[in-house]
Amino acid sequence: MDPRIIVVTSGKGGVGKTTTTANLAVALAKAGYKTAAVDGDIGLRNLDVVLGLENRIVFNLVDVVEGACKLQKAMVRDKRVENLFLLPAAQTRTKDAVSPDQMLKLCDELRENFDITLIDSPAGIEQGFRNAAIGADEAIVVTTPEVSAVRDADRIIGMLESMSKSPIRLVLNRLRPAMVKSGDMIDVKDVLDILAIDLIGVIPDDTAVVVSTNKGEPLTLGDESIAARAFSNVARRILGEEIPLLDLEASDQKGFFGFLRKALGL
Amino acid sequence: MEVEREKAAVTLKGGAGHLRLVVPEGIPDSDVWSGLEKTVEGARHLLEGGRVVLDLQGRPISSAFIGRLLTDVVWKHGLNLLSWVSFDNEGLKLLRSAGLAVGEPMAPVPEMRAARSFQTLLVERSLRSGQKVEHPGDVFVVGHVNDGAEIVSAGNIVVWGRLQGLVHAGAEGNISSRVIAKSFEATQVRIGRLFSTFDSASPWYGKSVLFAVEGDTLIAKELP
Repeated sequence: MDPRIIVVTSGKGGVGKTTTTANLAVALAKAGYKTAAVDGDIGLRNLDVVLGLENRIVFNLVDVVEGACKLQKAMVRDKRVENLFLLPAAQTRTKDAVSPDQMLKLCDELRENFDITLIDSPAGIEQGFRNAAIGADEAIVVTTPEVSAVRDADRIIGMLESMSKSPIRLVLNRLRPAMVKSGDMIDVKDVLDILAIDLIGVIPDDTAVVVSTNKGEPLTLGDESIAARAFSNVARRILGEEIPLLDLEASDQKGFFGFLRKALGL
Repeated sequence: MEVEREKAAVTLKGGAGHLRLVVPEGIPDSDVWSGLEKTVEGARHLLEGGRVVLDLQGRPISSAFIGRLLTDVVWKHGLNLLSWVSFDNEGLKLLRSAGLAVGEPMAPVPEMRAARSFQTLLVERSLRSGQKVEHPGDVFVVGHVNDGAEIVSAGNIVVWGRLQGLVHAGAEGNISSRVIAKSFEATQVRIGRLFSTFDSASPWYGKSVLFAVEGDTLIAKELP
């Protein structure tokens, strides 16, 4: 496989870019690919916390692009998963600390050293997003089933298209099948109808995600939750496997009666 | 004699952006009414929707004359008067006191000029949020216009898909421009200087709709 660089972006903030990046990075590394998770959110870094690697940061992305240290030195190796490395963002700098040329150079270097690089983009459509996306080959757009998030995703997809990223694929995060069923939430079909790009995964709204984010243990490390399976499936689809979408409605039936209903096929 | 007779007749002339109904001083009062009737009746189709300047030249104007002009000519034939032109000072005073527009109409504002003819812009893809198309002619979109996208056209706009974004047809003032959407889901439509807002409860939502300007109103019509 040729080295791949994928930007994870959304336009709107708080839809789950960082969580998605962390979970996919872990799942891809577990699949045997040397994976770099790059925090592109200079000044508001989060990926280190979500991955549980915040205590081991010495150097960061800005140090690398400014030549203060070598890339290998700044990469934080994850001890839990073989093949997983984090390039943290600088917390004391801003988006202006990095230029597009520097990002392109950094991406060339990442390509030489890693099979897959995931770049966690900051929210917004300004320089921070452009820097995160400029060196990437492909893109994963994360959105939630809300009108505002979908509109922002549409905006960002237009910009990614004009930057010739391909493929641009969609992760629909935080879906609540019960709410969709009762007509209180936009469903997958409506979102795809507007955004008109390929869907690479639907992640159900799951309390396990909140717990794992706070603990710094991505679900794909070994959790059994439905969200963990959904993220793992996205990773497998990135690697080219064809896997059907999970039946999220069945997973909605929690508890004893849910189990009973499932067991009886109701 | 023939030439003089022609000069002394009620005539209708074309002006810049208006029609000019001229009542020469030379014709006697008794012939004014038949002359006006004949001219207006003969140019019925031309006057329909056209804006008219009533030019009374130096003829002395009385309140009774103005009254009869209004009832027997203007209102009777549904004329759309832009202004009254007269050289009779007493008459002008009367017209002004009635709040009627007098004097030569102002030169047409630049926005009112007809759209210049440009090639139609064919957009064979969907417009995403934040994408904007500006074109001095007609715009034809084969695709969707998503929420947050914009089209500004000096002419007509046709969206052969779902219209959710903002469209402004006749943006340079050509109010004969139209907006046509195969599936209308937008919250606002603009034609010339007029605009109208909609929500998902509007009767046009999700339908095939044509928008146009009639008089000073933006009208919508469902298409079959």
